[in-house]
Amino acid sequence: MIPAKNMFIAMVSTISASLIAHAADIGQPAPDFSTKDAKGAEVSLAKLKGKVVVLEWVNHGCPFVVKHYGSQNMQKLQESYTSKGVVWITINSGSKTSGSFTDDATFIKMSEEKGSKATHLVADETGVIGKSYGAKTTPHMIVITAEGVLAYNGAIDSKKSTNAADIAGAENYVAKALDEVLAGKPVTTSKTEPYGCGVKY
Amino acid sequence: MKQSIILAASVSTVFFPMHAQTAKTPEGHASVTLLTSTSSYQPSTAVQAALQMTYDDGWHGYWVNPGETGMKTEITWKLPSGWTATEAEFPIPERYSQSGIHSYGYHGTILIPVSFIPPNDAKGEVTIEGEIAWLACDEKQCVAGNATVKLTLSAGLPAATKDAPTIRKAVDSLPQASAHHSLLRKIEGKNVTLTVTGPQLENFDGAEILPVTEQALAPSHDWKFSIKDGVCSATGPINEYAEEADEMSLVVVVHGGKLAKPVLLRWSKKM
Repeated sequence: MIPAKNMFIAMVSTISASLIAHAADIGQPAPDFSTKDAKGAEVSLAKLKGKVVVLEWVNHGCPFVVKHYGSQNMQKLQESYTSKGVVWITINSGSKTSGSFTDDATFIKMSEEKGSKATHLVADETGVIGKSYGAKTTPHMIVITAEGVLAYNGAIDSKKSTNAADIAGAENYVAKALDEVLAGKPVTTSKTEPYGCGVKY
Repeated sequence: MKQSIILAASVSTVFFPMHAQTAKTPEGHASVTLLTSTSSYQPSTAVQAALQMTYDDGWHGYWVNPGETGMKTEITWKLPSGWTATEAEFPIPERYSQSGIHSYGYHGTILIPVSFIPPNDAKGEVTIEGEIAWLACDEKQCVAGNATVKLTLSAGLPAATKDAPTIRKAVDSLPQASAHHSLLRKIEGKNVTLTVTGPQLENFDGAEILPVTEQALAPSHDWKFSIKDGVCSATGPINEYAEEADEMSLVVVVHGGKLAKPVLLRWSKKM
């Protein structure tokens, strides 16, 4: 077994090896991507122009994700906004060697068991999509306008915790941003620091 | 008389043993114990204690400023009537990175000093309880852990426990505010320059700066003081989530370099 101290040194030495991008900029075109979802359907951001899009980074083993799925908070958000025509893409950027990677069949099964109402599930095991958006945590939330412009980048809500009891008193930044985008209004809180487990690239 | 006090103290140790339980939750990948310097207390006299947290091999936990991921350890005390607890003080963390995402935290065993202060009418045996909630991560996953720690103290003359020297060492290693040094903070565009003034600045040369304040300094930058033309400063990117930069208070701890002990420095517009 590698002593813990040595592993930390190894981790620090990889800093320059795999830097993720600076968080994508608000008001700028959202980084494009084209991929297959877990069911084999094509997902292309460029082809989703005309639709408001949500990107949600997930890892069902992460306590912060468990907080929002165990409480049905995430599923309610998904249901509420996909019913208004929003395209919701749940992304797992965990690499194949990480504990958070799941193959497509498992990803679908886990999401169905949790009652996910996401439009697409995307396994981004190379991390290309995650890094282009600077996705740091699970969850990490992005809202893209129908014109393909980045409107919100950050946390799901204002209470950084793993405790589901904190959801009721938290400000849900994603719901607020989506309400504003759907109403054609500027987003008042467009960038917050995401909280959660690190994305296991 | 002196002998009888020693005798009384040792007897009380025999009959009222300190009950420090180690709470280990295998799924939380850490264990936690509440240690104390003395097994008994006197009214109005602080009892120096410390939470000892041990993370499983390969796992780490987080500082008060966890950085870009993770969560600080939450501590909630259940104290006897009239007792108070000081704020738990976290030791100097390590800064580490995973896939370019930076955090501040710990691996192995750490001690988190805290003091319990009895009221002036405190009497009898008391039990202090703490609810500890933490996040532990390895390179593949994170888990939430929680545990209850308990400590029973008897009334009487304080008798040092076997943990007293370890706790003393942990207290001595904590960052201390310097009465002689000041921190200046200047923001220019997306960069911030920190300057320390005061005596023996050479001790700060090469010392690492860790931000206690969240969303202040970019965690991706290797913050270190260096001396140029007699000025001891460090410049780097401001945290991309910093708001109202002009008003931003800043607390940092500085360690390493030639500093004998970590130093806590504070900048506030109100100063």
